[in-house]
Amino acid sequence: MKKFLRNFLYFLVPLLLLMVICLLLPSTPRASKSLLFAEIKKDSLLQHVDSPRIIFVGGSNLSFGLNSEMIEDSLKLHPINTGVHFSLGLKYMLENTIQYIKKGDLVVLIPEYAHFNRDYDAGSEELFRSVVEVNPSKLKLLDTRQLMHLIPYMPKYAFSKLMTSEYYHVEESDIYSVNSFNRYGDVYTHWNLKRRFFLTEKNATGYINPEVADGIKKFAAGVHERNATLLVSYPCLQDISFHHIEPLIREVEKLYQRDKFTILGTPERYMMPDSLIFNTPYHLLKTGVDHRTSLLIDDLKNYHYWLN
Amino acid sequence: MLFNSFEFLLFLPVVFTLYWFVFSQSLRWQNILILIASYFFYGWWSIPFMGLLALSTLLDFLYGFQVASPNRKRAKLFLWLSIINNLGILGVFKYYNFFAHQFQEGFELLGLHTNPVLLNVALPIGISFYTFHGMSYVFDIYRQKQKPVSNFVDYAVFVSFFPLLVAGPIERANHLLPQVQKPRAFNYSQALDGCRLMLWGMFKKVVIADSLAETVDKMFNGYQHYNGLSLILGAVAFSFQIYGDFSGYSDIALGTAKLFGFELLSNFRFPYFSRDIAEFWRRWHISLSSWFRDYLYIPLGGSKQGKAKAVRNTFIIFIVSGFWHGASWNFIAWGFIHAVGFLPLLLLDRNRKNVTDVVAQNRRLPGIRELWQMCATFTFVTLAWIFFRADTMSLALNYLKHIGQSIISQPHQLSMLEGKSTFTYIIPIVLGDWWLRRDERKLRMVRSPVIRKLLYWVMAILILSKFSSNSSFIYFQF
Repeated sequence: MKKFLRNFLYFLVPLLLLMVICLLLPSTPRASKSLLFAEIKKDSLLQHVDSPRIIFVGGSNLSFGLNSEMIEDSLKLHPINTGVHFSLGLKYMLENTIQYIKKGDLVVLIPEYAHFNRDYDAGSEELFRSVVEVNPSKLKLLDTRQLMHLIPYMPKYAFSKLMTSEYYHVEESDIYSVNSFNRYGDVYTHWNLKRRFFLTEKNATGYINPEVADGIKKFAAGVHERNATLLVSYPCLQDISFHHIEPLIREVEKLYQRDKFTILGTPERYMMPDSLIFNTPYHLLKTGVDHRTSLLIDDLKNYHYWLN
Repeated sequence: MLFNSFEFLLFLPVVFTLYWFVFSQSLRWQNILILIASYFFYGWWSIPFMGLLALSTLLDFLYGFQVASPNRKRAKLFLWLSIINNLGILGVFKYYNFFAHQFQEGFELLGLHTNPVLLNVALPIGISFYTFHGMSYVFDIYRQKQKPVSNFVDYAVFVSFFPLLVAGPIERANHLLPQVQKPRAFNYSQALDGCRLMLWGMFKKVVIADSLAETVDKMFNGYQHYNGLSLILGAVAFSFQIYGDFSGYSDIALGTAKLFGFELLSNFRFPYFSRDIAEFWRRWHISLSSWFRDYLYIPLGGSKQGKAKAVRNTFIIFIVSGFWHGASWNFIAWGFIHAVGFLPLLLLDRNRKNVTDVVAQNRRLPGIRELWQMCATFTFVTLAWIFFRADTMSLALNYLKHIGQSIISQPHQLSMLEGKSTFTYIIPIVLGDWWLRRDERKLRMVRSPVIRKLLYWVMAILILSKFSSNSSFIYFQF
């Protein structure tokens, strides 16, 4: 047994040491081009853009689904699109954004439906990279549970730095790059591209994680404390995927109504025909982006009319 | 709990430490620990379904005593009770909705509209495996090959031993139970061999199978957009994905068992080097095919009651084997195709060739004839896999139709990069298996200990660089 444990440690310890060394290495050329680094620009927008502001909070249904210039021209507000990646997790998105909310801001929360039936503090490899590689100061936003969820991603992140593909023949992605975003935070590099193959959303039940509902309420309270206004709306979603997850969508709708949020539009209004979809059920071609933005502008104008 | 998960990386050392350092002096407590650990392992997925596992285990344990009765009528009655019980559990959770849909469609053809009640229940993980454990135990008692076990803990460990609980291998009572019942001493070589097997299994699963999965998913989900050559590549990629995934799981299971002093039945013996379909089925998912041979084929008469019955029995076991994998016509079609492929060998009495030797037994490379035989067998198996992988019969048939129609060119061709990366993953597994084919249980691939250790580190780094807790094993769905 001693010999076995000794040999096992001889095998394991160098691996662990190598992992720690790799963790401390700087970002690889491939990783440094990742769209996750756009978070830095978006945080800068949140800090420096002047009022009156309209801030969109959610995942990539926003980054690949909004034309903020149209919003600026129509509504005379300064839009900030904070959408980066679904896998950062809703808790992180909300807690990162709330610290930048100022008096008078109009905050529009549009999370993807899949946020509602998973762990509120879920965050995948993208969140790990975000807090380790992009901006380590964001570690303070994570609680113990989030940190525990992220530990399994550590070996993959560390050892990926040893792969030659991270250093050689590194081509910047045409759409998932830090340079894919315009000055408002919209992804625009796909606007001239054609549709790509993707899988539809799988069937979902009507289960909603109560922690997600509580988290959104807490965010709403935080927005109100800062004398800002919160509106909620529904993400753009491919029609086929919409029907697959309809039980979940209905529950999200009920949740918003029950908790008396100010809601823009309906889920059906933002259900997009397949011809407008780009490369995932939530991402839109340019025609889809403009169409969805028009719908949102109309809903915002109706809200403003109602307010007045 | 998955083998390729962070939780398992914490679970295994804890159980190992308790097993060898706290309870090593007491066989009884070691077995109790294994049982608790196994239920914890299973309960990580679903606590309610632990109850089903426990119930199935208890019933077969009790049936065993009755089946051992000298009164053969009584013994037969309880044997049938065990079969009905186990198949009933399988029937309800796995096959009820399928039959309900078939009846509904049957009635629709007669112009009668029905609305059957469907069960909205998840398929309990491992149900197809632990029910077969229980049935084989009771069958062996009935045939007087096995005595009933008086200690419930020992029997429960046999049924629910965590390395094999969710995806096999399907063990036999007369192989695993004696190991459970006798004291186990730590064996350095066995434990080291176990670690090597786990490493190789994880490599096949995480590095090979999961990497190929992306190409396979693209091909099967969007076959309309790819040309024939790409679709053929997709089918070949799936052949290696399922092999890497399932044999990888089996290797991890066998390796983990070795850490605790157990030797499990080998489940794969380099099936893609088979020279005919009969040999393939002696090398692929060996524990299942031998189970069907011993408990279905032979009781039906096997091949001893004339050719006609042998053909009938062959079709029965292949179709049942397909159906065991899933309640869907495409799995039944997969089984049927294999039966058709097996048939010529059976009729020409060539199904018992290549039983003991391995291809290129005393040579480094296969001969031309052997190479041709391996390629032909692999091609047949790969075509059949299309039915296994496709979600439905129509998808499988359309996939094949597209291969035929668009063998030359169509939009969205698979890029050279993807073609190259697919073969990058296939080549190591082929070379590794070829190297090991004469001695599959010993993973001393390289004689030099220094180079061997470096190779193990490289494998570990590759595994960890691709490690993802989100990737489950294909056979978990059965």
